[in-house]
Amino acid sequence: MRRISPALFLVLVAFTVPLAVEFRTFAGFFGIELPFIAVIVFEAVLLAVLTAIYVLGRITPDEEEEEGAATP
Amino acid sequence: MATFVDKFPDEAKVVQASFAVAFIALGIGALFGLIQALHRTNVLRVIDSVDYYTLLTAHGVLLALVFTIFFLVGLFTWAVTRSFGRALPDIRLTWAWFGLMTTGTVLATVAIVAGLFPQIPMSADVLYTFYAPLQAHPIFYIGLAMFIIGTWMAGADWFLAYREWRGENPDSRIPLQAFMVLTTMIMWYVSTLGVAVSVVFFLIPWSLGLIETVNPLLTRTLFWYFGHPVVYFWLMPAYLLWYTVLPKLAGGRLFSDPLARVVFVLFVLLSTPVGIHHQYVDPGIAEGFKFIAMTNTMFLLLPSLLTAFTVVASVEHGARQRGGEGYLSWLGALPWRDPAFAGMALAGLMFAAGGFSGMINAGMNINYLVHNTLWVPGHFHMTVGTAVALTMMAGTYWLLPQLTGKAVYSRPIGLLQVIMWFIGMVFMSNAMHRAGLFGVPRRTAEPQYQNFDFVAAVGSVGEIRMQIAFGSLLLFLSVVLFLFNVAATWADDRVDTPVDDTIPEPLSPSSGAPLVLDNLALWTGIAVLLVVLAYTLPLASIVNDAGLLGGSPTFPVTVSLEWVVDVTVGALGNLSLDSLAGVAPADAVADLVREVRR
Amino acid sequence: MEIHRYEKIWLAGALLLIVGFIATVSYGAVGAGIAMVDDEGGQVDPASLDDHPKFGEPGTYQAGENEYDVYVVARQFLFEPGTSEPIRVPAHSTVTFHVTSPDVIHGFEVVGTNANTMAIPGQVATITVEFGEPTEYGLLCHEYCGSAHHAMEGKIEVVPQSEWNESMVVN
Repeated sequence: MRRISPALFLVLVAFTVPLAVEFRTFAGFFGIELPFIAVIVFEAVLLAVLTAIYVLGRITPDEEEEEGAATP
Repeated sequence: MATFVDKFPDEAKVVQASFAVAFIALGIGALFGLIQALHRTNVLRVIDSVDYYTLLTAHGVLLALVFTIFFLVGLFTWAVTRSFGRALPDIRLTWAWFGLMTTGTVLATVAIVAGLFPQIPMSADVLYTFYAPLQAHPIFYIGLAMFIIGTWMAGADWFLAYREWRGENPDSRIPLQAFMVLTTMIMWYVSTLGVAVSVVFFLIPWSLGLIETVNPLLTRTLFWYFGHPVVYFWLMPAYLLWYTVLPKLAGGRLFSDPLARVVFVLFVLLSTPVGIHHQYVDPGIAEGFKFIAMTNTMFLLLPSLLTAFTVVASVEHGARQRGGEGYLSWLGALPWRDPAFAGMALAGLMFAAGGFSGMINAGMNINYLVHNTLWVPGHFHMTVGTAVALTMMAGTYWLLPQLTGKAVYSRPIGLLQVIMWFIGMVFMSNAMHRAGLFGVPRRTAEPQYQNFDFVAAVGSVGEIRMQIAFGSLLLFLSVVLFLFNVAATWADDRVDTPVDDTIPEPLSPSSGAPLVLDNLALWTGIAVLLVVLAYTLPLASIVNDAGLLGGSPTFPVTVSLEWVVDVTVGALGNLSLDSLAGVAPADAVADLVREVRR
Repeated sequence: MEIHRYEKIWLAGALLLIVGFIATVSYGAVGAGIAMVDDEGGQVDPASLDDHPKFGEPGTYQAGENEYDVYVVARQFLFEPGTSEPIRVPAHSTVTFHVTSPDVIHGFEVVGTNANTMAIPGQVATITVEFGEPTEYGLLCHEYCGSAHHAMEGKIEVVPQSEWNESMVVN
C-alpha cells in the first residue's frame, strides 16, 4: 500500500466533505430522495476507507515509496 | 542568508504595517460574519435585527475593502521592491499613502460602528455598496475617498520605482511581478474613476447638504463601474502569488512567463466594461448595453481559464521534479504539509467552483433566478472569500518570515487552519447557493417571512441553515487560529534562515514574450477606449432620463414611528406586528422607538 | 511567442466554451424570448407618484383580453399592493408588472420563480410573466432598504378564472 503523509491524509479528508454534502443532490437528480442520515453514513464510509488506506500505508509501505527515495 | 527584511528594512516595515491593518480588519470582520450567520439562521441571536445591517456593513467594508486591499498594498510593495531589486524612491511617500489609507479606514469604520450606539448621532448602515438615496454620515464617504486616494498614491509610488528602474535598465523586460503590479494598478486607476466621481461629486456634497438630490441610478451605475473591476483588484494579488510563488512552493517553476503577461493584459482590457452585468435587472438601462456587458464578461473568463492551465501545469511540473509520476498520482508528491502550498492549492480549487457559479451569474437570463438571492454571497464567498482570502492567509505563511526574519510559529496549526477554512466554506457556500436557488434573499436579517415558506428541492430548509451556521463557525475558528499563528510568529525571535525565499526563473522565460506586451501605454489606451465604448451611451441615457442630480432627496434607514404604526394598523389583516422586526413584539416597538430617537 | 501544444488545445477549448455560453444566452433572449428588464418602462417623478395616473392608484389593470398590468409601489417597508392586501391576478393570464419606488432602491422578487427586478426611484421596471394554475406566491424585497428591510414582504394570489371579478381590477 502506498504510504501517505498525515498532511495529505488531512487534505483528502477535506475533499470528502463536498463529496458527501453533494452526494444527496446527485441522488436527487435521479429522483432518489435520501434522508439526512445517508449523508452522515456516506461520509463515515469515505473516512473509514481513507483511514484504512492511511493505516495500511503505514504498516506495509511499498519498498520503492520510501521517503525521499524517488527524489532525483 | 539575507532575506527581504535584511535587504530592505524600511520597505519591510511598511509591508508589515499594511499586513497588521489587514489582519486586524480580518479579525473584526470575521467576528461580525459569525454573528450574522448565527443570527440569520436563528441559531444564536445576540443583536437586534436592526443592528444586523450595521454589522453587515462593517463585515463587507472590513473584509472586502480593508483586509484585501491592505494585504494587496503590502504584497505589491514587497513584489515591486523585490523584483526591481532596489529600495522604493522615497520611503516618506510610502508612509504617506499608508497613513492616508489607514486614516480613511478608521474614519469609515468609526462611522459604521457608531451605528451600534444610539447615543452617538452617527451611522452608516448603507452596506458596502452604499446605494443612494440611503444616506450615511459624511465621515463614511470622506473616509472611503481618503482610502481610495491612498491607493492611488501607492500606485504612483510603484510607478515612480518603475521609472527609476527603467532609467538604469532601458532594455530589460519588466520583471514579471512588477509587470503584474503595474498592470493591476492601471486597471485600478481606470476603474476607481467611477466610484471617485460618485463619492466626491455626488455623495459627499449630498450628505453634507450642499446639493439636495441625487440620481439613484447614476450613482448605482457609477458604483458598479468600479464594483466589478474591484473584484479583480482583490483577485490579482492572489494571481500574483499563484503565478510566481505557488509553482516554487510546489517544487518547480512557472510554466510560461509570456502567458502570464497575456493574462494580466487581458484583465486590464476587460475588467471595467462589464460592470453593467451587476445591473441586468435594473430598469433604465437598455437591453443592448446589458448584452455588451454580458459578452465582455464571458470573454473575461478567458484569462481565468488560461490561469487554470498555467498554474496547474506549473504545479504538476513541480510535483514531477519531486518524483511524482503517473496521470494523477503526482498529486500525492506535492508538499501538502506546507500550509502555504496547501492553502493556495485549496483556494485555487475552490476558485474553479466559484468560477462556475460566476458563469451562471453572467448568463443574463438565468440571472433572473438568482439575482440578489443568497446564491450571490455563496458565489463571492468562494471567490473573494476563499480564492483571495485563503490565498492571502496561505501566502502569509511564506511572506511573513521574509518580512520579519522569523520562522512561522507552527506549520501544523497553519495546515489545520487552511483546511478548516476549506471545509467551512464548502458547508457555508454550498448551502448559500442552494438557498438562493429557492429564493432566500441576501442582505436580510430575517429569512423567516409571514406570507410564505421557502421550499428546498433536496433536503430541508433547516438543514441548509445548519450548514451555513456550522460552516461559519469553522471559518471563524480558522481565522482565530490564523491570527494566533501570525501573532505568535511576530512575537518570536529572529532566526538565520526563516524561509527559502528564492523564486526560480520560468520554464518559458520572458525573452519569449512579444515586446508589445510590455507597452503599458498601449494597453491603457485600449482599456480606456473600451470603457468609453461600453459606458458613454448608458451613462448619457441615465443622465438624460432623470438629470445629473436626479430627484431623490435624503432617506434615512429608518422611518418615523407614526408612519410605521399607520402601516402596521393598515396591514393587520395579514401582517403581525412582530414581523416588522422579526423579534418579539415588545422588542420591535422598543427598537423602533430607539431608532426614532436617534 | 512559443505556445505549448497543450496550451493551444486548452485555449481553443476555452474559447469554444465562451462562445457556447454567449450562444445559449442569445438563444434564451431571442429563441426562448426571455426579455431583459430595460428602459421601456420610462421615468416617473419619485416625489409625486400620487399624481401619477396609474401609480397614484396602484393595483391590477386590465390591458386586453387575458392581459393585465399590475402597478406596484415598493416603499420603506411595504409593497402597494402586495403587503396589506395581496396582488390579485387571474389564472392563465399574461401579466406585466410595473414597479417603482418613491424613496430608496428596493427589490421585487416572486419567491421561487425567476420573476425578479429592481425598483429604483425615478425609473419604472417592467417585467412580463405568465401565470398558470391558481396558487399563491410570496413576494419579497431583496435589496437592503433600511432597518426593517426584512419585514418587507407580500403575497400574490393567482385567482381561478371562475372567481375572478370586476372588483379585482382598478379600471
